Amino acid sequence: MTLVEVDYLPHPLKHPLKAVVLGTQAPVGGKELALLPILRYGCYNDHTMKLSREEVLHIALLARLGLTEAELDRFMEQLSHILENFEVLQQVDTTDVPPTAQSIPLQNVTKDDEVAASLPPGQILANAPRKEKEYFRVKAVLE
Amino acid sequence: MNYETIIGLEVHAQLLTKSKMFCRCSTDYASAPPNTHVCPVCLGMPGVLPTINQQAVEFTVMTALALNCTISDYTRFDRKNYPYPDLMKGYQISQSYAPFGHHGWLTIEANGEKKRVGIDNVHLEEDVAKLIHRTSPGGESYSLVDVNRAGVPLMEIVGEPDLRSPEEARQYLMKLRSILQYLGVSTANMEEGSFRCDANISIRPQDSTDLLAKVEVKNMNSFKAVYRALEYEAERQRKRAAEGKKLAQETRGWVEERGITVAQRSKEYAHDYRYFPEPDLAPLVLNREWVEAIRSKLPELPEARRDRFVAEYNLPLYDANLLTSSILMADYFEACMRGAPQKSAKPVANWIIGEFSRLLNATNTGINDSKVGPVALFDLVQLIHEGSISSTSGKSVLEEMFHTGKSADDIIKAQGLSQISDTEAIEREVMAVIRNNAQAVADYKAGKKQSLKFLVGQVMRATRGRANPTVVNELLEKKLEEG
Repeated sequence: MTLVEVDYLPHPLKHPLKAVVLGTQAPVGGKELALLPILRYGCYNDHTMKLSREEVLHIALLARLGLTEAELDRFMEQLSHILENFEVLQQVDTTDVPPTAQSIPLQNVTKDDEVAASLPPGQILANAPRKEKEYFRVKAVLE
Repeated sequence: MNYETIIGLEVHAQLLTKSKMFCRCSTDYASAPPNTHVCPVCLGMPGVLPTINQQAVEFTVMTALALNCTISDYTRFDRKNYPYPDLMKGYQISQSYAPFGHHGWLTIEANGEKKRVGIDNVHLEEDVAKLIHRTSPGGESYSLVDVNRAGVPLMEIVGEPDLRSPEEARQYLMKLRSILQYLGVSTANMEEGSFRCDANISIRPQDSTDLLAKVEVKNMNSFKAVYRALEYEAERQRKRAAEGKKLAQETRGWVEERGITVAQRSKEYAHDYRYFPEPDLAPLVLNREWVEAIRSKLPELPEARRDRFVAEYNLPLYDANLLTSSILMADYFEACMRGAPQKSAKPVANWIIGEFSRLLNATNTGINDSKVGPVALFDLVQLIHEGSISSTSGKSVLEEMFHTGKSADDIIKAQGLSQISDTEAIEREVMAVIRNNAQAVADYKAGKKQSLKFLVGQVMRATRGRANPTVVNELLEKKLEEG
């Protein structure tokens, strides 16, 4: 797992924001995988990296995951452990390292505005858990 | 207490690219069956990589330049996370920290004065899927998802809260639409959804800087709806404040049929978007020379064209403003005027702004889809100008041209509409009218001068509008004096 600390570039319009980004995702599955992208955003200003019950529940809500009590305990520990690793990384002196959000120094990668074939209709809905006619069908979510 | 209204608008415009923002699916989904312009990228399949559409970047930079923005040297995309089924990936690729352009402005005319309205920033993102809400026979509510629209380039123009009335907001929107259409970057059609507007509106006591609660209004699908919603909302806030009630900071939806705004159920943690730099896209470094090359290629914009119309065609500012507010109408006018003398400009403008626009609006026809081409319209205006037909007949001829596509000449011949300027012929009608309208004649002689209008009307009626009104007037007056 490559971990990178990022200071967002200050922009004239917005305040600079400190955040922690996972450069590459660890090969994990299931609910852990769903929770990881949320940890990419660091809102945990606490000095100790121990996550509270409420924080884990908040993260689970953002990922739209329902957790059992046992899972809540397990993730509280595992996610806290991940954050502890960031604490180690925080100790690295990055004074002279320019901030980046990339692991490869590329820029200006674009495509021409040309149309190519889309997927055949049968394939588009092939993985849909529920469908109705040519639509994906999902539970109602109130705005 | 007197309150001031503070309005800021956020406008989303779909860009006129052929392919989507980050994949090569076609953006031409308007008449396509659902879920046909979809690929693994816009479907958000695991492992796919987006690529930035160069044309969308150019369109956004063009817009930012036209809106007097500073163009960022360095720009990049960010992920905006939120769990809603119109996002296939669970996030939208947008821009939060380094938009393409910032600190711009556009000018509107408010109460006869020019006013500069600030543009906070212009940035680029992707459109989302379309949801259709349904209820099953068993009472379960669910949504159907059409992904065709997901990934269409969407440019957001964030305005400063510089607007002080619904009318200023309307002016701002019309100006912005006009600029986008001139640039050719968007169809900017509100009814079709390629141009959308959310408004932030609040009130504050006069001479104070303390805003009362900021209310976001959504769901406005036409210019008229924006105007009505803002008018309603400003009034609602004033009433509440006058009653001493607290105003909630909330999102409200405009309900067109009822003409009111209603509080929307707020999304839990609605603003926990957790923006972070999009790791799948490399940043863009915008070369100064490239930006300047785009600037030099910007087309003539509405204000410049309006000023040129005033100078080149000697049109009143009012006419020039109306003609140039739509690029299609301005182009049509100039096509009419190709090779024509400058003195034709005013009558041509009158017919385009007046009767022709009325017919277009009444039938909801685009100026380019009409059966009356610029040359045909110019010919009609010429015939009226030369006195071949009267202005009144001109209206019915134009209507016939509009519905059948026939030329003015053919219609005039077929219907025998040529104007009668022949004094003898008109004199016969004048004498008949004087004979048959003794009361009006007596009134006129008794000093009731407006009776003349009635008598002129009778002659025009008898000649089915073909008599030259100037000649009719002169003859009637002469005959009445004599008799």
